[in-house]
Amino acid sequence: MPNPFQELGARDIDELYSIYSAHELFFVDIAGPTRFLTRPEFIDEFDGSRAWVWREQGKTCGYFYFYEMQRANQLANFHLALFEACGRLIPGRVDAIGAAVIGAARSLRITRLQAAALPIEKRRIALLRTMGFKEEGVLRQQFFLRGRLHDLYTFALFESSRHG
Amino acid sequence: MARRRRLHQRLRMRPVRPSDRARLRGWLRDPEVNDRLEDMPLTEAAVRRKMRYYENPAYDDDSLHLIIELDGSPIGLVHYVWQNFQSRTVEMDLLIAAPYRRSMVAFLAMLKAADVAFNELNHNKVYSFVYESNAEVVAIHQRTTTREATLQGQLLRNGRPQNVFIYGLLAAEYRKLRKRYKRVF
Repeated sequence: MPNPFQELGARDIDELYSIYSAHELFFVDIAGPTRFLTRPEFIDEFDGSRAWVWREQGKTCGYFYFYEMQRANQLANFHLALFEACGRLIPGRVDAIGAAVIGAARSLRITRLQAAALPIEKRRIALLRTMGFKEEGVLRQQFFLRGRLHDLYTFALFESSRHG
Repeated sequence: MARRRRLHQRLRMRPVRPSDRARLRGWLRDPEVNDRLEDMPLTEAAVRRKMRYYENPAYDDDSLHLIIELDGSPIGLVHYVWQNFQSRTVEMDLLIAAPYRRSMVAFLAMLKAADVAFNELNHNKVYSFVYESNAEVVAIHQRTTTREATLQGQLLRNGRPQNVFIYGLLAAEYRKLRKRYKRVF
């Protein structure tokens, strides 16, 4: 399956925020997980980041972006969201998504991607694992959501060259 | 006869003042401190930016920077960053001057810094990112907190990946810790 993602330009920030706010009610990040990311917060988070969107037949199927990129450490935080609008994820699609993410990281000379997920985000966790992300730990009571504190799983995907 | 004050009573936390400027600049220029900072190497412009950050609470309203004093002399700095008032979590970074790093002073400064996070800032959890190579700091965290994650080769130092640990301490655990160390704290 060809790469379904198209890169968004810096001017498309409003479009990206529209997609985000229509589909996602919380933002999961190690340091600053938050509910209802406002537009200024989103722009602040997105500053200097790069985003890719997947559209099919006029529908938005998903997007991913790299944020808080650290050039010196060749790393970035990674956020991926896939929406039900485009049907179930079949293995060929997952492979294409994984290849698109890795290709985008390589083009930016990023050798380590970091992601976080709540235990209740089973679909996201399964997808991260399928893409090759390894669990690096569980941050206890890190995120208050829907009346209680949740643990947060941390994941990373790195190029084998990074560890020799 | 006046009773001699205990070590933890001789430690005090206070906000950064303009008179700390020279000392902070000195610390930031210290290669060892610089090497422990995530966004190294610090250029002169970066030092200026950090100074503004330390001195002006409005510069970043999520952060708080306090000087740690021993008998009235500054011996370190604690940063509370990424304060999350919804989840009541805060990242705590402690910088302690070299002569005190291996001593009880560093351990008590850590407890004192955690005390501020829990009892003044009303957080439920503090967490810290610690380099695996920073043996003294790892040792203090192993005594007081729980290692929650190992970020494999997260940082590159001279091209070599270096592991970073995330240590966490919950408010309930802190209360137990205080009981355990009540003789010294």
